[in-house]
Amino acid sequence: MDVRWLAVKLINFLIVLVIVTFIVAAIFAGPLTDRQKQAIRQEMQQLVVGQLRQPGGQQYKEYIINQYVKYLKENNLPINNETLEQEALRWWIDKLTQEEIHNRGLDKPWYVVASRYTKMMLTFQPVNSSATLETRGFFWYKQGDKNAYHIILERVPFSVLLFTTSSALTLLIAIPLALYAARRPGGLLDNTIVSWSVFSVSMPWWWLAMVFIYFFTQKYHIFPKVTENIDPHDIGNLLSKAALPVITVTVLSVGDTAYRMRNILLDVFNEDFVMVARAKGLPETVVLRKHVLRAAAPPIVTIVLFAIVLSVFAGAIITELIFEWPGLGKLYWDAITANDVAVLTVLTYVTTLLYLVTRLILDILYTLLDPRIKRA
Amino acid sequence: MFDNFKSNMRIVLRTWSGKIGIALLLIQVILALYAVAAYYPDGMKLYEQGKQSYYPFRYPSTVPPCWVVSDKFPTETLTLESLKENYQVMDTIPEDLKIVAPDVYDLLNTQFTPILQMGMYKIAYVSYDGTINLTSQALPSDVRLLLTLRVPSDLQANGTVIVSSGWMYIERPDGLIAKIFYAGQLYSQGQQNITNIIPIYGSVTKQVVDGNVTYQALPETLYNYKNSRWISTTMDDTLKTLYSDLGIPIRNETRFDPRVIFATSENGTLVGLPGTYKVHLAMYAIVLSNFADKLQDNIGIEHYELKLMGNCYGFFGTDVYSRPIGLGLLLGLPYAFLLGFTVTFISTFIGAIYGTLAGYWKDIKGEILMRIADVMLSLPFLPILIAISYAFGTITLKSLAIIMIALSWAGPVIVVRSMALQISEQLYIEAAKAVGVPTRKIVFKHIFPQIYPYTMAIAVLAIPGIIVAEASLALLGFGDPAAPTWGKMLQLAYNVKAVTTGWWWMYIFPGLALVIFSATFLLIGRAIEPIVAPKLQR
Repeated sequence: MDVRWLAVKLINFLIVLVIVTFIVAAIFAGPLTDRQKQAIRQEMQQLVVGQLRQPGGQQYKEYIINQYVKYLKENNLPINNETLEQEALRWWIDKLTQEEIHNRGLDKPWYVVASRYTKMMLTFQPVNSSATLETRGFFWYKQGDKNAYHIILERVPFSVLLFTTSSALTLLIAIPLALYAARRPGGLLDNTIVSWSVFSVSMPWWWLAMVFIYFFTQKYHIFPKVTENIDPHDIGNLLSKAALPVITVTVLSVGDTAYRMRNILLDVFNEDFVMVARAKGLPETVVLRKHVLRAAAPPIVTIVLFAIVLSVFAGAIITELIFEWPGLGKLYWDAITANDVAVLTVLTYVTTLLYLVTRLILDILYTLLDPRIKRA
Repeated sequence: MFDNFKSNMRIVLRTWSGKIGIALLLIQVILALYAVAAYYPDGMKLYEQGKQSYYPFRYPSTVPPCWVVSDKFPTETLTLESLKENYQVMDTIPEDLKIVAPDVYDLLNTQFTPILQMGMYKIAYVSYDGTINLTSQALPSDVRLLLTLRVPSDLQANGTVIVSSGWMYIERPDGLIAKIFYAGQLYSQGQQNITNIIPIYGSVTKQVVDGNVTYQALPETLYNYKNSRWISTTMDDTLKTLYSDLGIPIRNETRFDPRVIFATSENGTLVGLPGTYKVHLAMYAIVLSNFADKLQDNIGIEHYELKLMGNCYGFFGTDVYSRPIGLGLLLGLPYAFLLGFTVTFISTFIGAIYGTLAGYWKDIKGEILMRIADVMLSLPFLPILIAISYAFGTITLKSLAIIMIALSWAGPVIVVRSMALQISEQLYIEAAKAVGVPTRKIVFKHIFPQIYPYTMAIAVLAIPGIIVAEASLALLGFGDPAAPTWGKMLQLAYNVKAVTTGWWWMYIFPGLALVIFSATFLLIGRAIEPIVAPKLQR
């Protein structure tokens, strides 16, 4: 394996990662900073109120009022004796808030703030959720942890379970279908695959999820009702809840996967070496196994895997929401409804990171599997 | 060019996918043009704005399509215009208001005492006696009253308070008497008139007067007008008694079902009780204003109606705001075309030119262009779209289109670049360079026209993705608040939990419309692909 080629790939990956992270940080810089400013103001308010309640509180209040009067005189502003105390306190809290915002560098231009957030994300600094979201006690975290990374990480196994299972099922079903269809192009099965791929690509996955839920849990009680309560330690419960989502995703991805495989296989069937193999009088199974599949395997594996991964990032986010399946997609909804900027930011970053890493792995895999691809 | 188009069309139409695709496209284009001609712009605005005031009186709410209902009840309007002489505008609070609408009477006496003492109020009063004939066992889905007041616009603007209430007394064919109070919600409609739509909802109390059982629906309605959602309250004992008297099993009812007025029980299900119903109804609308004395002749009752809403509507049914689903499907079509075409064609055009340049410049310039495109391709489309929508708050369809273009222009760059690389190595390009033809001319006159048809196939194939992405965003609550899109219909269905409540028509039809629309372009795109990219031909 060419080490230099791999190094170039990795460096390229890192550069892209930094830029993409910066883009994510820039999108969220505004809302994140606003949220932090609000938090600082609350903090200062609590601080001042707390100090006023302590023994030296009266002197502190007088000091604040004196400062405020001084400020009013300096700026030639009228003094309103009735509301002086309230105004002075508000002015003092505002002043402290402004100073703290300045100290933390939140009043800098957006690109400075964004690059700070970029650095925080790239070094995986712990971020606390900015609203009510917390860990739910699945797997390895205790309930009530507010670290955004922990909130996200405990959801990952759910998404992985759902989509690896359905990807494996998809491949298992699609490969024989594609082989059969490619040998009789224009046949009944072939046409079915082509039409189903048209439909599965053109529909929102979550819509079919809604339809399936209606048919299989409401109209005919084949699967258990969709509820939010999932206990990951109860395997039976978990699997029964996962059944319908897995079936839905598989049914949807089989169409397009089989269609892509069929196209690759058709190309290979038309190659000269297949014709030669057939002309030699080799049995069809041998032609299929030794010549067709061997040549078609690399593009099938990578293109199909890539298609599945892409579809996960495109359609599956909302499919999870419809099924109340507590994976990453459902977390998007939770973070949006809770108005939790911090979790949403980290979530977008983690999703993007996962996406980039899968792309990199598949890219390397493709080149390794297919020696015809130039490594440049 | 035109000959080329004609022969290409012939090739497209030779495949079955091309035939179906073109046919579907033609139908949808005609429908979209009809939608624009018939509903632009007022009808389209009304679809969103009229969900509180315009549609609820005209169409039944959340009823299935008529082809699934065996026992149809057509929406029946009992216009009471002919009895106009029964209405009057009065200067005093009628004493019987104390009996029929005690809460209104109390409100007027406590909260508005100063105004009342100054005589700054008018009362519009309607009463009506009549009959309703039900001929079959089909049940109306709802009973609604409409009262339109004529109130001068300057009076409306000056802190006028309008309190509306009334009562209805229905003697059923079986001798039971239902006495129902109703309280209304006022909507401004147009300049001059205020329309009052009074859905009858309420809990019921039972009274025995002279041996007659009387049920009263109290004005503390269970319908929250502010956000139009059902408040689930537990069913109280009197309502249970009413149900048991009628022989209707109590399942999961949380509110008074107005159908009960006309219903009886048959083997545990609610069926209509045919016969003649004697109706006596009275409506009050009390207008309190600083200017009431000046404008006493201008206040009046414009129109009043009693309406039994049907139990089904059209081919597609209606949604929770009583809007016909079919209308929503029709109005969503032009928006789907607009968004799909604008985004894909502009972004593909940008991507095609960009990729051509990246392929033509074989030096550092091309390399930089490719690096930038690589970054753009590394952004996962939907998560970033959600992130931007969140940062913006709500976004209009126009800004959504711009964001989508900004995120998706890099799609065709890699393919286009490799095509441009091949073409730019041709001898005639070398010759053009040698002769001194400027870069701009070489790119746009020689290379780009060859790539352009293929990118059109890419654009057509990208339309479904854009439409599905819009629907997904709308489902998450980031849809354009003013535009009636299919995504928003699906969002409404999701929000009211249509899947678990069994209102399947609210999501099946918009989803199907989306699928048919997307499939049209996939079919056409797949039929065009072999023509523009001959390598794929088989």
